[in-house]
Amino acid sequence: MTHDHSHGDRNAYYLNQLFTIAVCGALGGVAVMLWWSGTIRLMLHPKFFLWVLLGGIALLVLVVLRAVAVWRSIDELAAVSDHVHDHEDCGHEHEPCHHHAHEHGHEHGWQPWRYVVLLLPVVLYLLNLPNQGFSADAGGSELNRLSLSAPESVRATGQASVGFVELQQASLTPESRDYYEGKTVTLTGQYLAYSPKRFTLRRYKIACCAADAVKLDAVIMVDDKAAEKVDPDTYRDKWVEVTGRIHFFPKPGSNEFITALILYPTKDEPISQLVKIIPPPATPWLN
Amino acid sequence: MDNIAKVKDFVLTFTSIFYEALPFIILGAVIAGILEEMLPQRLLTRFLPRSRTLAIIIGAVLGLVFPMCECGIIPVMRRLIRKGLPLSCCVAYLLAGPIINVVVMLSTFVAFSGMENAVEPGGGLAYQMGGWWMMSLRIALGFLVAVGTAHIVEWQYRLYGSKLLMPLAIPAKVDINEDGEEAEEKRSAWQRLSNITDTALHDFIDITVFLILGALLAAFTRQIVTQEMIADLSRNHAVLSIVLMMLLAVLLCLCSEADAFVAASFITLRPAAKLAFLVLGPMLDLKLYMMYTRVFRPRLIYTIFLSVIIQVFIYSYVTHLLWEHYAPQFMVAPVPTPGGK
Repeated sequence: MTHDHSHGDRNAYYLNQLFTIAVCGALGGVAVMLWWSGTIRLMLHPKFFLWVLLGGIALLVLVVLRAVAVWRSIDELAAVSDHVHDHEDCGHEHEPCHHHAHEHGHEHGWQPWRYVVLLLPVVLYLLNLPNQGFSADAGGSELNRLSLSAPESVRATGQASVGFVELQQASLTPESRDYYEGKTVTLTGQYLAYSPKRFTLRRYKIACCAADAVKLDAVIMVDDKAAEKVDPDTYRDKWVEVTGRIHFFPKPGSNEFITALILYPTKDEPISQLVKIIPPPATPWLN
Repeated sequence: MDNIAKVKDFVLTFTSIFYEALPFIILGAVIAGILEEMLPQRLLTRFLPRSRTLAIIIGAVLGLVFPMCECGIIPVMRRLIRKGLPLSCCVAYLLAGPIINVVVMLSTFVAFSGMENAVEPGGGLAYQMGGWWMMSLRIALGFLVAVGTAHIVEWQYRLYGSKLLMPLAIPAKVDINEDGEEAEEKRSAWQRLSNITDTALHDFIDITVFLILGALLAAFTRQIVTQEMIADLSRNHAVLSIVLMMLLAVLLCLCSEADAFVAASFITLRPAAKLAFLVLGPMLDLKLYMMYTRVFRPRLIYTIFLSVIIQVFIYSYVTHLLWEHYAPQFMVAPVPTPGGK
C-alpha cells in the first residue's frame, strides 16, 4: 500500500508539484486581484464577490502549505538518500519519501498541457480581459427585426421613477400597462442603432454571472412629427441616458408587449438633452 | 458587430463561467482532501441502509443536508466513491444534489413568482406556472430522474464493476489487520495536513482543467446559438420546444442557482419546456461532460446521459399534457396591482 516514487519518476513528481504550486498560486492570486481591483464586477453578481475572494485566499493557503511540505520532503529525501548510501552493503532499502508512504489515489505523471490550459485565465487577466460588459449588439436584437410605426401621439400622464426591470415587468399585465402609459421616465442603457428615428436601448440583467445575462431591450422612437433625428454615428455603442414617454406596443406575431419610450424633442429640450451620452457604469448589470 | 467585440464577449462569457465555479471547485477539492485523509475506508457504507433503493433515495435528497453545486460536487463524489460509497448512491447525489437543495429551491421559487399572472394580449390567462408549481415540479422531476438513473447505474455496476470508473475513482483496497479490523497507518498532524493539501491541489488541478475546457466550449457555443433563436424555433410546437430547451440547457452551462431566472425570461414559452431546461441543465451540460470524464469511463457517461435525456423528455412531455388539460380548470386570473406595486 505504499505510494513510493521510484528514482525514475521522482523528477516528474517534483516537476509536477512545482508546476502545481506555481499555477495554483497564480490562479489564487488572480482571484484575489480581481476582487481587489473590482474587475470581478464585470463578470459576476455581487453575491459571488466574497466567494471569489475566499476561494483565492484558500487556494493561496493551500499553495503555501504544499510548498512547505514539498520543501521538507526534499530535505527528508536527501537524508534518506544519504542513509541508503551508507547502508549500501546492508542489502536493504528504505522508503524514499516518508510523506508518501500511503496510497491516496493520485496520478503524478507529467502532463504539461494541463498547465497550459490552467494558465489561460491568468494570461487573460494579464491582458486586462475582460475590460467591459457585453457589447451593445451581442446576439443582435429581436426588436430591431420588428417593423413598428410610431404612435400618433402619447398623452403625457405625469412623471414616474422606474427602472428598466420594473418597466419590463410592467408590460406583462393590462393594469400595469394602463398605469405606466404616457408616464415620462429616464432610463440608462447601451445604444443599439436601428435608424435615425429609432434605436434600441439595452441593459442586461444577471442572476449569478454574465453567462446567464438576460437582455432587456426597450424601443426608443422619436416623434414622427419632430424634425430632429438621432445620429447613429454619434451614439453607436455608447452608454446613454434617455428621457421619454412610455408606450407599449403589441408585439407582432406574439402575445407579448414591447416597452417603448417615445421622444418629443422641443426647442427647450432638443434630442441632445433627451438622449445624453454618459460614461459606462462600473457595474454594467442590473441585478 | 466587429470581431474584436465578439472576442471580448467570448472572453467575458468564459471568465464569468470560470470564476463563478472556481470558489466551489476549491471548496469541493478541500472537502475531497479531508475525506481522503480523515475518513476511514468503508466507514460510510456501515451507515447505509441494506436496501439499495432506500440508499439511492437517501443519496438523492442528501443535497438538503449537504448542499453542493454541480461543479463542486464532482471532486467530493469521486473521493466518496473511492471510500466505498456505492456508485449508484453517488450518482443519485450527483444528479439530484444541485436541484434538491434549499438555495436552488428558493431561487426557482423567486424567479417564477408572479408568472401565474401572465396574460395573453386579449386579457386571458397565459397559464404559466408560478413559483410553487415550478419549484415543486422541478424537485419532483429531478428526484425521479436521479433515482431512475441511479438504478440503471446500479445495474450496470453489477455487470461491469469498476471498469465503469476512471482509475482515480476506483475504491481503494482495505488493509485488514490481525484483529479483522481496518488497518490504519499512524501519521502526524503535519503529515495529514500535507496529504490533505496534496490531494486538494491535485483534485483542483484535475477538475479545473476540464472546467476551463468546458467553459471555453460553452462560451463558443453561445456566440453561435442565441436564446432568441431557440425561442423563435420553439414558440408553437410543444415537443420541439421541450427538445430545444433541453439542448439550450446543455449548451449554456448555467449554474443551477441562476438557470431559473433565464428560464423565466422566456415569458411565453410553454411551462413544460422551461421545466425540461431546469431539470436537465444541472445534470448535463458541456462543462459537466468534460468534468465527468475525470470520474467515469465513457460507457458510464453515455449511460447516465442517455437515461437522463430520455427521462427528462418523457416526464416533461407528460407534464405538458397534464398541464394543458388541467391548468385551465383550476387557474383563475387574479387582479394585479398597477406596476406591481
